[in-house]
Amino acid sequence: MNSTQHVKSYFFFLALSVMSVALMLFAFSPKATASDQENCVLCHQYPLLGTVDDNGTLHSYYVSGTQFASSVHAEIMCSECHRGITKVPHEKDVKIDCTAACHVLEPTTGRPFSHKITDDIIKESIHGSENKHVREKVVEDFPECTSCHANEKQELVLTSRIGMEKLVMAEGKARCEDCHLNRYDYVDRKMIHVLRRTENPKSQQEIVDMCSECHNDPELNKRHGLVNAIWSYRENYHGKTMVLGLPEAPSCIDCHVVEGQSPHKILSVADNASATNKENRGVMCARADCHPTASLGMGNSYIHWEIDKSRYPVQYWLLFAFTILTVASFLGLMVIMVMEMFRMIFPKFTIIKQRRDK
Amino acid sequence: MSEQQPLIKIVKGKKFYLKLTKPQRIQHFILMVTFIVCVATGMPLKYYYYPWAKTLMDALGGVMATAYIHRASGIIMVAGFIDHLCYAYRQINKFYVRPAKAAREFSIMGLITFVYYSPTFPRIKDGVDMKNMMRYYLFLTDKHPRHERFYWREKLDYLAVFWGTNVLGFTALILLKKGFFLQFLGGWGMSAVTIAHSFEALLATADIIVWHMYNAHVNYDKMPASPLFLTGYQPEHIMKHEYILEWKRINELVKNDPSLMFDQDEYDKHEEERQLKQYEDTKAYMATMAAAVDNERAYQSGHGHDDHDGH
Repeated sequence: MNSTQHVKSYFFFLALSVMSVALMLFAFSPKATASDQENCVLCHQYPLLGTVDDNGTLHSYYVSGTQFASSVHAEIMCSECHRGITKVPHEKDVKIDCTAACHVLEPTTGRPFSHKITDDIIKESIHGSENKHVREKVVEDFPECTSCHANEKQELVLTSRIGMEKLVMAEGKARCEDCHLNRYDYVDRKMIHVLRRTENPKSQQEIVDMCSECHNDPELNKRHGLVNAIWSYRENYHGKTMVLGLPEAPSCIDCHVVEGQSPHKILSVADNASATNKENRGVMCARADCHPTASLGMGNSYIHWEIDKSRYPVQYWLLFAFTILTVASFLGLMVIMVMEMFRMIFPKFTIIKQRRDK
Repeated sequence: MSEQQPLIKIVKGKKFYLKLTKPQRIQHFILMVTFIVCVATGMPLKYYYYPWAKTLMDALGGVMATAYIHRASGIIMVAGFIDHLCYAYRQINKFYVRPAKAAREFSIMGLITFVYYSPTFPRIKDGVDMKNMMRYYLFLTDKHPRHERFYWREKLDYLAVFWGTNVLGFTALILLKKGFFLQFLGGWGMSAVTIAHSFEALLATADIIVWHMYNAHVNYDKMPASPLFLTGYQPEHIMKHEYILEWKRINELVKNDPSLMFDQDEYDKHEEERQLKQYEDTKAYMATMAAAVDNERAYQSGHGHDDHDGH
């Protein structure tokens, strides 16, 4: 064997090992590389990528390729939502547009998928600034899709409310696989897609936290003439049991959405179609999984009252009276106790002598 | 009352005075247990925002379990209260109505007077005592007011519980049948009822912890705990300090009728004698039983003595 052959075989083995390492890396690397055809993660993978604005706030532009790959939008390219990118490095403020049609085809219509239908529901709801029941049209106060939704992880959330166990999931999957191949995780994805909609994937705490982002803001509540819905919810039995960890405790959307309708369709109390309208409230309370035996009178209860002298005078003065009663009796008894203890230190001492006997 | 309890018990040379009779102790026990259970299951709900609330609630079985425990306990408490009212009615009957009717002297005025002078009813003397107690506390006099069986301190406690049980009981009834009552009360009425139940509970808890615990277990020589609620008897030094009039009255009663006093020491002294006598009785009983077999055999075989006349 001469030296050229030697070198050749050496390079051959080197190339083979490099290729196999690359193959292994490719095989075990996250799917990010597959969906990220535009190679955005090339720059955005660096955690320190970001800017500091004039106020000193740090804006991070970091995107975790692995996390994105396991998110609900994993199959969609970045530019399909972040519209308006024409060059690299790209323009500032490329906001996402959820109503844009993307390349994923909606199977029932065959048309490109878009969140426009949901967006229309939101616009018609009380969360749309054009709704006729809106008191103050401050457009910035109204939520966008991203106010409530992050790019959630594509996973099956089986909460205890529907009582489904992992075992059921496995059995169901086995039935699917009788006919369908689980190629490219097709069965997994379909199951997750359907099953995660059978129950609210967010916990009650998460939903309340989500609504608190805006409804717990005193300035916003004042601007729009709203009660502090979060405070009053928490002070109510519903909210208390939610905090104490009752799985059946209702969150905001359990009462504010008509059963069987889109959770985005939250309407004003004044709206006749609203779940919280005076006429519909009793029906809403008597839902099968809430208060099935309750009479329609249950709809009369105040859930969102707050301590306000002009709006809720009875509650205000009753609270006032009980506070006075509690504090006064407590302090009065404490004063008597302290006086008695002092007296016991000097049992014989007195300013005016009266005792004649003994 | 099934048995008459002695007014004075002497144990190890110390005198103990009857303060709470057996039915009263049972009533107190029911109230105490149900109150503690209601507070333990109710307060975590009122103060849900403290970290201990969830811990306590989970320890007691979670939200749903505590809801049912709270209701059951509340129902028992109200039942105990109704029993107390029946007890008061029986006492009035026993000590005034029936004796007065037997003497043909029954009158409404007499009934009112009897109720007015019953041990737990507030009367003018309590106001006078309270005023004098304040003067005593302010070092304006060295005369400690002299009290009868229950004085203003305990009557305040009693009235607080009486009023509290009513407020809590009626609001609880409305909250329990919320759907029904909401038709008449409206939303504001229901929220008012909720406030009343919650705050009255806080008031009751605070008063029990501060006032009742202090009076019954801390105040004057009672540390760490007074056994009164278990035994029903109050030691003599506390009787002399706080209830001098009652002390004198009971002593007078016992002087006239020594059978009202029970001397445990004297009783214990004759323990061996009693046991020997009991043993004689037991032996006699066993001998009779043993003889009964032979007796029966003899009777069946036609011999022996026949107890029955005829067949």
